[in-house]
Amino acid sequence: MRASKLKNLVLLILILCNAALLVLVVPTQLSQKRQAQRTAQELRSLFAGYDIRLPAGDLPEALTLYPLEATLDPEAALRAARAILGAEPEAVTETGSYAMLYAASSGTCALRRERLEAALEDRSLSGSGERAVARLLEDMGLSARVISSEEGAYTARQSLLGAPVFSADLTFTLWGSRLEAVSGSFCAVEDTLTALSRESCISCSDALVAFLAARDSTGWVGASIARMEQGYLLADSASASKLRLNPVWRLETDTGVYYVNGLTREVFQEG
Amino acid sequence: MKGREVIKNILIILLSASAIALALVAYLGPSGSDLPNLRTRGAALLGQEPYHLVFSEGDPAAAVAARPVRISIMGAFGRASVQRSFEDLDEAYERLGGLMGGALEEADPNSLAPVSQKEVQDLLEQNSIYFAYQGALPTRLLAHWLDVQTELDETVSALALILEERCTLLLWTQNGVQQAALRNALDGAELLGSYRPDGSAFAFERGEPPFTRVDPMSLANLDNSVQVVGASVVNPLQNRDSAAALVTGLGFNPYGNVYTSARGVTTYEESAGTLSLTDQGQLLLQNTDEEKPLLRALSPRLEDLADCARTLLDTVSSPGDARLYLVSARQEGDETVLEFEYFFCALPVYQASGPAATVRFQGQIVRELTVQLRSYTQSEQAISLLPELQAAAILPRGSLLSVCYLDLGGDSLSMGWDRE
Repeated sequence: MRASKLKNLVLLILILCNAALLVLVVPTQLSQKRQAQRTAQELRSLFAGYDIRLPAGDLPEALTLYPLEATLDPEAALRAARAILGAEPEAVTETGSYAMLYAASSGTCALRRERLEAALEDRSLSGSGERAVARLLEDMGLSARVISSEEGAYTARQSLLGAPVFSADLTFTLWGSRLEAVSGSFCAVEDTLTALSRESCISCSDALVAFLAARDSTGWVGASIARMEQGYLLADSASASKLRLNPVWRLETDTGVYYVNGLTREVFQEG
Repeated sequence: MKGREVIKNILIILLSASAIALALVAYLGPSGSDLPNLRTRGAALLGQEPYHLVFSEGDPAAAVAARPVRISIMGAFGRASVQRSFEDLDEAYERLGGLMGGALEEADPNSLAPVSQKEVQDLLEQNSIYFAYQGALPTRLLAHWLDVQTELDETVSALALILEERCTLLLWTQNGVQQAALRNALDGAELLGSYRPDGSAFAFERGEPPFTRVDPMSLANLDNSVQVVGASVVNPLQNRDSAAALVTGLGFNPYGNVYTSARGVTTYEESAGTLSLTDQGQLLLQNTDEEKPLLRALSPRLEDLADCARTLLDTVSSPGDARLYLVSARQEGDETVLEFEYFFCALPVYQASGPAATVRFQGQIVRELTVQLRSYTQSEQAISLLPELQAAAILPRGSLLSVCYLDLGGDSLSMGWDRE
C-alpha cells in the first residue's frame, strides 16, 4: 500500500515535470519554426527580385559542423584494403602514413593520403549491384552510401559525423558480381576527429545570401537553385598524414554546382 | 489491484522517458553546441557512426617553426613561383606540403648520392616542386612539421621533389646537392597541372647575362619593378603594461627583486633564474629551474625542442605582421642552439645585433633565451627596388638574388637586395 502511494507521488511529480518542460519547449519550438518559415519566405522574395527561384518548402536545418582535422590511420586503410582485395594482403608496403600499398592474388590496392586506386583481376563480391557495394562499404569500415550508378560503375559518398564529405567519392566498377576496380578519394582516418575551432558552419540562409552577394565575382548567371546540402569538403593541408575538412554548403544550380565555405563564406565552383 | 500497479509502472516509465526527451530538446535546441557530439555518441551506441569528436586547443599549424620562403612549381605548362608574400607562400605550402611530406617519408637514405649542378638543372626542368628555406634546417624537423617521419638525417636549405617516372628528392646540403630515390612513386600530376606559368624562372633557366653572374638557384620574375611593403617598427617594451605582462608570463615577479643599471638594463632576479630587459627591447633570460613547463621541452628530441622554443617565443614576442622562423639548429658542446629570425612579407629582417632570437637548451631544459623584441606593422606605402635585371648585374658574383629588410633600431625598416 505504501509503495502504491509512493508511485502516485512519483507520477504526480513526473506529470508536473513534463507539463513544465512542455511549457518551456513548445513555444520555443513554435517560434523557431515560424522564424524559419519567415526567413525562407523573405529569402524567396529576395531571390525572386533577381529572377532566381529557390526550391519550395523550408530551408534545410543546419547541422552544427566544425572544421575538422583527421589523422590517417594505417589500421583503417588495411581494413579497407582487406575488404577490397577480399583476402589478407600478401604484400604490404607501409613506409609511413602517406603511402600504403597492398597486394594479393586478387589484385592491388594503393592508398596515397586520401587517394585510393585498386585494380582487381579475380575478385567476386557476394551478390551484385548496389547491395553488394553497400556490403563492401560496410566491410571497409566506412560510413557511406551509394549516390549514383551508371553501367556497372557505382559511386559512393562517405560521411563523417552524419554529414556527407562531397570530395570523398569512391567509384566501384563491377562486371556482374566481379569487382574490377575501385578509385577515388576517401578518408581512412582514426575514429577520433579533432575540431579545429569552436566556430561552426553558417546557416543555409546565410550561405544563400553569401552566394547571391558573390554572384558578380563568380559570374553565375543561372535562374534557379535546385538543392542545398550541408557537408564537408577536403581542404588543402600541409600535413602528409592528416586531412583537413571544412564545413560547406553545396548549392546545386541550373548552371553548375557551387560551394559556400561554412566559415569564411567564400563561394567557389565545383571542380 | 495488481493490474492498476502495472499501469502505474508503465506510466512512470513513459513519463520519465518523455521528461528526459523534453529536457534534452530544451537544453540543446536545434542548434545546441554539443549536439554533434551527442549525436555522434548516440549513433556510435547504435553502431551507426564510428567517429568521435574532440576539440583542439589552438591551431596545430601554428606550431610550425619555419615555412619555405621560396616555392617553385614546374608543371606541364611551365614554371610558377611564389616568394615575398606570406599569403601566397602559405597557400602553396598547404597545397603542396602533403606531397613533400610524402617524399620525405618515402626517401631512401641508402640511395643518397651527390648530383652535379648540370644534373640538378636538368631535373628541375621536369615536373617538380622546389621548397627553399632560410638558413639550414634538419630534415627531421621539416618532416615533423609535415606530420611524417623521415629516415634522412641531413641539414638542408632547400628540397626539390622530382615527379617523373622515377621519383627522386633533391636535398641542398652543406656538401652540395644530394639525390635520394623514393621507395614508392608519388603522383602529383593533377596538382602540378593546376598551376599556370607566371613567367618566373631560375637564373640558370635564363641562361644569359646578367643572370649567369648570380646564384643559379635565384628565382626571378623579370618584373620591371620590384615592390616591397614598408613597415613601421615598435619596441614592445616601451609599453609598461606589455613589459609587466611579459615579466609575469615568464614566471617572474615584476615587483620583486628588481634593479636597473646605469646602462638602462632592468634585471629581475628569482632563485630559479634572472631576466634582463633593456630599453632597446633586448631580452635575456637565464634559467636554472628544471620544472617550469614553459622552459621544459617534452623530451630532448630536436622536434620537441623546436616546439618548446616556438611556444616560448609565442609567449614573449609580439611581432605584429612579422613572423619568427627557425633558421638554424646546431649542437654546441652539451647545448642545442636554435636561432630564429624575423620575417616580414616572407623576407628576412636582419638585426644589427645578430639573430632575432636564440634559445639554448641543455637536455630538454631552456638554459638561456635572448630575443630582440620588435613589432612590425605593414605600412600602406610600397617601396620600389632596383629591377631584378639591374640587381643581377651589380650584386657580387654568385650572390642569391633576394630581397631583405634591415632593422637598424629605428622606427622603420630599410630594404634592398641582399649582398650577403
